[in-house]
Amino acid sequence: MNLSVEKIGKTGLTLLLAITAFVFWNNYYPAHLLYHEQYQLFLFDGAYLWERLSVPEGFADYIAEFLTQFYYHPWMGALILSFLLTAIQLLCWALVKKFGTLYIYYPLSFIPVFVLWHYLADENAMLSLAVAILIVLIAGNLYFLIKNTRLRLIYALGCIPVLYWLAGTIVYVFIGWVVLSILIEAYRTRTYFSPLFCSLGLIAWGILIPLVTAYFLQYPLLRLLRGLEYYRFPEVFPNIIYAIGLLLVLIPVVSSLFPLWNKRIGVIIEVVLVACWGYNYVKSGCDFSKEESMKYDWMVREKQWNEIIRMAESKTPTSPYSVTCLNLALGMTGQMGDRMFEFYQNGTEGLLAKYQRDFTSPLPTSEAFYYLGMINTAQRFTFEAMEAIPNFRKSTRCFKRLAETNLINGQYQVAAKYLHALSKTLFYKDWAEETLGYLGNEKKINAHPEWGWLRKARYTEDFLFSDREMDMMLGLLYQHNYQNKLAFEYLLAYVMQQRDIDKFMRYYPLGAHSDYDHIPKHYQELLVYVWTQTHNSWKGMPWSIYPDVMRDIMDFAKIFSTQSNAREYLKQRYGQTYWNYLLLN
Amino acid sequence: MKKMIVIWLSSLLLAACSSSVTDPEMVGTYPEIYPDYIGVTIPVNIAPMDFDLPGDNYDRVDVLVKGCEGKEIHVKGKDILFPENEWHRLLAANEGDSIVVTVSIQQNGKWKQFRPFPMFVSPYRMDYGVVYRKIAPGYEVYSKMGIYERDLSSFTERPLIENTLVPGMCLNCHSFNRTNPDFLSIHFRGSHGATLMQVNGKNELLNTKTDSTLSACVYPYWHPTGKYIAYSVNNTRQGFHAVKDERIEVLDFESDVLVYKPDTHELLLSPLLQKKESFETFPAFSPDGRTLYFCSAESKEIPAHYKDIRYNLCKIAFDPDNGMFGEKIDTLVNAEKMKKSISFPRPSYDGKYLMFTLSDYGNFSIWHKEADLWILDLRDGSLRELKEVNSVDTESFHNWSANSHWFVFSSRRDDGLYTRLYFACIDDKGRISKPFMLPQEHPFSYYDNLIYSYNVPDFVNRPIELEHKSLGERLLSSERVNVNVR
Repeated sequence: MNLSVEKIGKTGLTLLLAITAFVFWNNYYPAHLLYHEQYQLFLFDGAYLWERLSVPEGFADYIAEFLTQFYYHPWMGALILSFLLTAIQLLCWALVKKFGTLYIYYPLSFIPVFVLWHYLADENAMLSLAVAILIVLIAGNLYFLIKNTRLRLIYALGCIPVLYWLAGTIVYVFIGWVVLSILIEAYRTRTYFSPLFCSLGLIAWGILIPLVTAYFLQYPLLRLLRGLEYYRFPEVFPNIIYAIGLLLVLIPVVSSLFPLWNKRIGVIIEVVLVACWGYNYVKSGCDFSKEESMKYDWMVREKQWNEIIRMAESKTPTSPYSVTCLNLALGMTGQMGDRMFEFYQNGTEGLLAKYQRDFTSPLPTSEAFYYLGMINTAQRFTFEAMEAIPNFRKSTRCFKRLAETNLINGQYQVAAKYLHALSKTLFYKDWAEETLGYLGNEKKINAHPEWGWLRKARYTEDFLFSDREMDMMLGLLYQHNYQNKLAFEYLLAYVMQQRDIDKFMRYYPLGAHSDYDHIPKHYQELLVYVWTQTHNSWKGMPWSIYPDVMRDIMDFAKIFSTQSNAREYLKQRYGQTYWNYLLLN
Repeated sequence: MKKMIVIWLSSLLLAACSSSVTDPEMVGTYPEIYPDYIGVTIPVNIAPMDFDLPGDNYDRVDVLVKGCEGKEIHVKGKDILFPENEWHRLLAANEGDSIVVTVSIQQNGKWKQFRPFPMFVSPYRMDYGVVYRKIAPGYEVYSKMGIYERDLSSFTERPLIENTLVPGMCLNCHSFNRTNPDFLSIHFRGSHGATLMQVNGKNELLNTKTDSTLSACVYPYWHPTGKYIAYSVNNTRQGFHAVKDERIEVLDFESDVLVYKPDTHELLLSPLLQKKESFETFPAFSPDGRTLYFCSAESKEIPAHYKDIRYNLCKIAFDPDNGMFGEKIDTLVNAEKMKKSISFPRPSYDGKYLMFTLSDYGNFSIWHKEADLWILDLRDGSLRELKEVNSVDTESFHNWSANSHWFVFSSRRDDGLYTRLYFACIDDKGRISKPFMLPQEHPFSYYDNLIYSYNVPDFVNRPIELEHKSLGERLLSSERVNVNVR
């Protein structure tokens, strides 16, 4: 294989990695990027930088957060990840070469990258690990550039605490390279005492630093020895991180032992093997059902109601998280009463889910409460979601919503606090500065299409929130302002989801206060169901029901009451009706 | 040429730095400073009272601080940061007197000088520091929090315990004995919950929940001898309001008061403090240790009648020799009659006063905007609102300094949500000064950026010795000392 072919081949493979990574994150996994972006609040602020730098790994974390803010535009996030993965592969190869590995083993430098990629597909894997790996690879390559043995040792000794502080426990990878290179050299020169002494000293030095740190920082020793910010959950340290570390240490050494064999076939086999394994391994790390849920959530953030419905039409969502988003979209577009049961429903949890102490599930529900006008509850769910972020970060999304709820509630100084913070961000700055202009300006707020309306919709009579009396609270909300059609639709949807027909019949007449031009289809389905339970004919029925609905209920009732094995048939034919939810689910 | 440029730049810089207030326009009003330190009374050992002018756009500011004695402090530039040593020297020279602050600002090349304002330097010193919890003003979930010690003579804050130490840990009430940190109690909640009891350097982790008591020990108060510590035990839940000016309601469904004896690990109970028909909470010993104050309310159906639950200030005799309680409960302040409710009774250590929070109902006045500080003169039984320190927003938790001439309290007056610490002085005649906010460097940006509330402030007379590493390891272990009911 001549030089140019080798170069073209290597460049081609690396380029392929870069393009594949970009396409993957941009086209197949963008919602994960948006998910990450919302759970941090990167501030261009000296105090923020100092807070990060005051703990080990803080620098990598700071850089990672800086980069993560660009996930606001997924294409930027995809570009960043593509660049990071590519840079890691190239630096990994540069280091592998230092151990004397033959160029035909170039594809092996992709292995740690694929493992890292698999790891990053986890929604709780933080970018700080990738940044930390990049830092340690740079430090490792610099180490091998130093030719003088003594200088190398001094560099390594100095690098270990610095790397620990900047990049965290990934420093052990650096120690691994240094120790192995010393031992290989010792084996070659048959001089053991000094290299062994140095190796043990370096390892001890690497362990000592976290031990000393534990006396100054309030973290459990185990976390200081494992890493603080590589994963969102502090108690969790996925084994894959150990695997990445081991691969980074071992690949250079092990690959240096591989012989030179049939170049062309060998390389082709290697490329095929690594690529196939890489594809499958990365795929096994992906969770596309979560990607779908995250996409729904993101579209709710962006108020893309029709997009949400279109997406559900092509594949009905099934998780309460996504169904909450879909139902909100149906409500916001006035289609809830007509179309809700066209889609899979999982009870009231898909409408207004009960509060769970986590950082994800309260957010779609908080969006629903917000648009309903239950401002205090929206504020609580948002605040709680933010406080539940396991790595104690704040959230751009939550800060934005908290600024809005406080603004609507007239708590201007609290709103100003959140807005001042958002003014120090890259992508929320303009919005924050514009919103600051609303504070204290009642006329301007009241004229705002969203905030002004929500002020009219929110409660004015106090009570204590009770999730066991959600229908009562929705009823009060609607009675407070009959223009709040969304509250009425949620009220009826809530009792329909509960299969509480009595309550539906009690609440239904309240709809007279709203400007319906027809009785929504699902209400018709329930009304005719009730009618047919007590009457033998349509005569005297007080509602305007579509003829096809009347026809369908008759057919449905006939089959349902006479055919005991017609469940599947009925589900197929009437799967998009309320009768299906009421009687067949 | 290069040399010329350097000289020219240097002279320009020098001229800029030394430009003094010339021919200023005199303004008859005080400057709008943050925090409002105009006319406050401060202790001689307080940190520099740096302030900001957030409402004014200016190119330069010039602040002159003068006293009758001592060397004046002159600050010029963009920020108002007083040098710490000079500040302390100036205050020491003017102890018992006042200092005057003259603020001038330069706008578009023209100087404007505001009316000079005073700060009064009290003859009473304040304790070494203040300890508080910093936590986001949330609902049920908590993110990062910690208990911190602040040296009041400087800006140094150090963490005593942060919840990064033990995953999922919630830090609750901390208490010292009349500002003496040799007697320390901190309650931790979460899966590694415990009560830390540290007496004269020896500490142990207690499991204070027993079959005979409602919960683990909650609100603490040390007996002056250090031989006992009173606690409440509470079955607490939260409710959430629907309207704009209300957020949270913290409700006790049951609560009792008891006393713990650290040397025998015994809980001392009295049937008078364990009554089902009433809620007892917030115990506090009198300075002589012979009376236990607490709040008590008639129990009512919750949540239906939560707004009708009102706590009175009560007391019961306590014999420190044998740990026995008196035979009757006296009501000191019948808040129920006033259609009000009392929380956080805190007797001054000189035995003259008892300060408490008064709100419309309930016991968790921290979330009540109407909550204000009141004081009961224990010598003549007179009662009055502390109008000198109250605001339209919440004033709640408070504690006394060792000499009983200062008190610290938390208030939501700044923005209505994030509590801040304020300090006020009470002199021998019971006159109370205008309170001042805990000083910070760059206070406006500091407090604006701060996403935590200050909770449960208490003075300490010296730095606390608490070794976090071993404490963290022990909290993670299952090592707990069980307490028994006597």
